[in-house]
Order: sequence, then C-alpha cells, then structure tokens
Amino acid sequence: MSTWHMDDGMAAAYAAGELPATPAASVEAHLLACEQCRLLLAPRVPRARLDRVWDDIADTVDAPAPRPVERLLRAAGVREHTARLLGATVSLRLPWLAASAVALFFAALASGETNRWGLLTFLTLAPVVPVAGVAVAFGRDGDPAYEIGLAAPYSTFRLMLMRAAAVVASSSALALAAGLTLPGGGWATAAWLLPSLALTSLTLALSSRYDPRRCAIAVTVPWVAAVVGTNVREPDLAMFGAAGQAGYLAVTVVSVVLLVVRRREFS
Amino acid sequence: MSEHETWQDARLLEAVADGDRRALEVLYARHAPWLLLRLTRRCADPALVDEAVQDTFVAVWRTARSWKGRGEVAAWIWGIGVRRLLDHLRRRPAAVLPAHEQVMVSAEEQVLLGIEYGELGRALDRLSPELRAVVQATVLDGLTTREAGRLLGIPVGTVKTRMMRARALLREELA
Amino acid sequence: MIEAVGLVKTYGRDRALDGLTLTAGKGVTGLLGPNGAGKSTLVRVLATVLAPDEGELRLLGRDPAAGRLEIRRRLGYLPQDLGFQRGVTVFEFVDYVAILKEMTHRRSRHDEVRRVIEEVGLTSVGGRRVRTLSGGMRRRLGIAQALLGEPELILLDEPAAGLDPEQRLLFGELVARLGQDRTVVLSTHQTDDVAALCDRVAVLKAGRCVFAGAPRELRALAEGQVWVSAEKAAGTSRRTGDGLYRGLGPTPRNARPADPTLEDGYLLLLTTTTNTTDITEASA
Repeated sequence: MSTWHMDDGMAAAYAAGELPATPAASVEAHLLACEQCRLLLAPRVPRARLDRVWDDIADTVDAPAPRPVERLLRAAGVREHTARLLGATVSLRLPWLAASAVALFFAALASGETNRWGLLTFLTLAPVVPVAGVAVAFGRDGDPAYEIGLAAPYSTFRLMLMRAAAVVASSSALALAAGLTLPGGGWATAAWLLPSLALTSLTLALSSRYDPRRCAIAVTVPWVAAVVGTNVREPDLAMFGAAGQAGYLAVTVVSVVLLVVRRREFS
Repeated sequence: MSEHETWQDARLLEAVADGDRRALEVLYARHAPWLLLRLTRRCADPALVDEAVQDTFVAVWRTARSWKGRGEVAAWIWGIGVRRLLDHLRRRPAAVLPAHEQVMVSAEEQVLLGIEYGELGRALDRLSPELRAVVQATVLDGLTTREAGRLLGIPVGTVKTRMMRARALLREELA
Repeated sequence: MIEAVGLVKTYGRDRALDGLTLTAGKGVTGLLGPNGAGKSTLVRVLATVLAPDEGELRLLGRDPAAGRLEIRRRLGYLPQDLGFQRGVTVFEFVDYVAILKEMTHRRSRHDEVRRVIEEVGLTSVGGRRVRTLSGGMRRRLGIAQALLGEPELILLDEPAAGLDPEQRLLFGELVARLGQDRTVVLSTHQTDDVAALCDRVAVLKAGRCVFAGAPRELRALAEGQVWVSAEKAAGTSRRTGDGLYRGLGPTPRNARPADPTLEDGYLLLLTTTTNTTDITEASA
C-alpha cells in the first residue's frame, strides 16, 4: 500500500470530479496518509481561489478576538474601532466590573441593618467607584500606550471622555442594580447619582493639570471625610438631601465647563 | 517561510498552537487543495465549500492544541472540514452531489480498489449508488448516522436501514 | 524636516532644554548625550507630546502649535518606556495603535498592521502575547507601531538600550533601511550606536546642542589628542577592552598617540565645552 501512488491522469480525473465514486473513495482514503499525492493535487486547484480563501482566513485569524465588553458595545451600535479603543480600558474589563459589582452589592446588602450607617456606606461608595475607574482608565499609569496616543492623530481628549462616559455608565448601571436590593427603596436608590457625576467630572477636570490618580484621591478623601463628619453624631443623610443634590449638580456643571475650557491640556 | 516548509505536519501544528502564523500558511498550502476537492465531491456549491475550508483552517488555528498527536493531521483536518460543511449545509440546504452512477469499472480502477480495500472494495463496487453513498459517508468520511443523513439529505432512519442492507450485502459478497 | 531654534523647556527649576537649536533632514540623525542632557525631552517635543516654553519649531514644514494634527498624521514615535496592555497579542497591540492613527476601515487597517509586522520580521509571533517576547522582539514591535501609515518622520527614544549585540545588529539593519527615504531621529547615550547607525549626529549637553555634523567630524575633533598606555598615567584615562589605558590631552611620557574614535571626540567635547552655546556646524 505504501508503494502505490496516484499518477497524473488519476489526479486530473479526481480534480475534475470525473473519477467514479469508489475509486475516488479509495483515493481519498489514500490522501489522508500520503503527503506526496496531496502535493500532486495542489496545482490542480486554481491559485486565485486558494488565495482568496486564505485572505479571509488570515484576516479572521489575525484579528483579535473581541472581549465581552467590545461585543456588548458593538451590539449597542458602537463602531468597531471605537469599541476596540474602549475595550482596552482596564476599568471596563470583567475583573474590574466584577469587583465593583461585589463591592456595591455588599454595601447595599449591609444597608439591611436598621441603622442609617448601612445605607450611608452604600451611598458613599457608589460615587467613588466611577472615580476610581476613571483614574485608572487613562494617563501615564492607567493606559500603557498613553505616550504613543499623545503623539497620534486621534484626539486624546475625546478618548478620555469616551472612556470616562463608559466607566460612569457601567458603574451607574451596577449601582442601580445594587440599589434595587435596598430595603425600602425610594429615593435612596438613586441619591448617589448626582454625587457620582460631580465627583467624576471634578476628577476629570483636575486631571487636566495633575496626575489622574492624585486627583482621584484628592476628590475621594474629602468626600468620605465630609460624609463621615456630617453624620458622626447622628446619621441623617444630610449630604444627600435636596440641597446637597443641587450642590452636586452645580459642581458637575462647573467641572464640565472647566474640562471643555482646558481640553487642549489633554493633548 | 522556507524553514517552515521543511517541517512535518505535526511540528507545524505545534507551532500553530503557539501562535505561529507562518506555520498555518504552510499547513494551508499543503492541505487546502485536497480538502477543497474532497468537499466539492460532497457539495456542488463552491461558495459553501470555500466557507467550509475557511472555517476549517480558522478552527485549526484556534484548536491546534487539541490534536494531541493521534493519527494523521490530514485525517484530523478532514474531520473538522466535513463537519463545517455540514454546518453550512444545515443553514443553507444546497445542492448535494448524488453518488456517481457506476456503469463500468476500468481495469486500472479495479487494481486501485484491490489495493486500498481488496475484496471489500470490489464488493462495495457492486452495491447500488444509494447504499454506497451511505457507506462512504459513515465509514469513509467518518460521519455519524445523523450527520450522514444531513449530508445526503435523507432521514436518519433511512441511513440506518441502508447501512444494514449494505452490511448484509457485503457480508454475503465476502463470505 | 526638523528646524528647531532656541527651544526652552523648564520643569520647575530644571531647564531640560536650554536654548536648543537643531536641524535634521532625510537619513538617520543621532542625538547623543549623557543622561540628563535633554535627549528624551527633545524627542518628546519633536513628537508633539510636549510643547516647548520658548523657541521656534517647524516639523515637516509646519508649526506644531497650529498644525499639530497634520504633523501627527505623518509621524511615528517610539517612547522610551513602551508599555503594553495586559494579555495583549502582537497583532492586537499594533492594531490598537493603528486605530489611534485614524485607520478606521478594518480590512485595510489589518493589511497595514500585517505589513509593518512583516517589515520588522515578527510575522511568526503575530499571534503571541507580548509578555512572552524577548526584549529585542519587543523593541522591534515598538518600531513596527512607529511605522504604521508610512510616516515621514520617525522618532525613536533610546531604542537600542538593553539590547544585546546580536539584537543590536538586526535592529541596526532595520534602522538603516528606514533612513534611506525618511527622517529618522534616535536618541542614545552610546557612541557605538551612533557609529553604526547614524548619518549625522547632534551632541546634547545640559539642554543644548554643542555639536552637529557627520560622525567623522565628531571623531576628528579629537585628532592628535588621544593617547594609549599600558599603565595608568597622569590625567584622566579610561580602561579599554584590551587592557590598555586610553586618555585625552597631551601625550604623557609612557604613552603613545593613537587615532581618535568617535567616543574620543564625544568625550573631548563633553569635557571641554563651556556653558556658552558652542555649535560646530559642518556641512554633512
């Protein structure tokens, strides 16, 4: 069996589909074990067809497999290249999102305690999550390709805004979901939203001048201190009342204006 | 490229598992032609065959590690290829080639049959085209009865009855 | 391609660039200088990553303050500390940078990515994770991303640092090929790199350019001022690879004069230039 091989005539007949079924089956079984005869067939398939199929293979093989975040974004209608840029953000990836979810749900469940401290923990934590997410999303420490990005035509400012928006959106979605488990519900399930926007936009605005991580800390620490301070004698959610919310809105607006005014600093 | 061309298939596959694109290119050059031809004998639609070959080599790239060195690489590739073709046929029932009408077997072909299958080959030859197609699909192509049914466009039950008949006939012939 | 006059860049009290003047055109120009001389800062200014506090700068015929986008479209930049995202493959990384270079169409972008990966010889590892690559391969990967879009100006910040001699050789061949029809600027603190790779060299010291010209002209500065001796003699000398001592200045008694190397010229320049701008311009 090892000394038998196809000849040109048989190869031509097989390639043209003219070999009857049983001999063809015989050839096919032989081909599985014989390199030489396989090579005999190679020139009998049009080069153009082989190249065309290969191009498609190469493209599929080379292209990086999209991450879950990317696929989600694309399903939501985001364009492929934008989705890839966003998918590269640390704080939009599964480990980070999972950790945020765990923290938020724990905090929400802790509110099951009848005293107000439990609820305060959740309301204080929820705005901090996007701040942390934004701090690691860009800048020299957060984005390994940051320097290259600065020298590239794509607007670094725009990239930063997109990433920040995605981070805020994802952490807000998680916090909203966690908030639904709060006993009693009511306004408390969203009282963190405006503080969240305020702290995040403030962090971004400050990042135009200082290192994002430092800005995040500079914003988070006073926030936590203020909440603790105003509630230390008697937890009463003062900072989350109507006046407080208006204040957060104001901070958000001012920060956004600052951000836009100083946008060239980011590039 | 020249270095890769001297490697055996097994080694190339190992390199592919390691992310070596060149190795995949060489494997493609060696195996895509016969795979294309063999699949064309199962399905008349060249676009489907192209897609099946494409899917096959993408699968080779992604699952190279699962080969584990048993048997011929070509056989492994065929297993992937025919199943990918089936996937496509399931979605788009296209023209499937009927088994060739066997009118006469030339002397040369007799020799061929004798070498690969001996008595069995000759006996196979005396089966009707329908029975032969079923034997080819299950025994030679390595498909399950369900997959064979899909490929030939007949119900699973028919596949089974034909297989039984073919086996009985062959046993008669070879007895 | 590059015209810089009197560039100043200050960080707090540190004047990283102190009135630096430099021109560079087609071919490979080396920025040579000790650590702290301002090389990285200059490369970053040229890459439009930093804006100078004072001075005039024209890149590819444009003023960065106004035409930054157009410059960046024709620029390739390899920073000193190139970082990669976790778990990213070679292809993924270059593809990411290609998106940053505004290549939005997927198919043509992928073709371009494959092209640059091929050009630096990394096709066989295209699917591998970057963290599994050697230092030399990572450097080549860094150059690959700098080649995306066929830039007219390529800036490499300490690209040969940490490479072993064999890797240096491969890298050198690549750079020489690039310099044939583009402006390539690379910074280094090793004269070997300059000798091997550069058509022109600019020596930086304390934020200023103290020499600009062909490597042989830098070497010629030390003509007649180099000596070798078997024993340590008076005056500063350094141990060389063959166990002898080599120094600059008048030849001491137990030494003999020697032909200058590029390193001699460079060291002489570093030790003798004063704080006033001292540029020796020579036609390249």
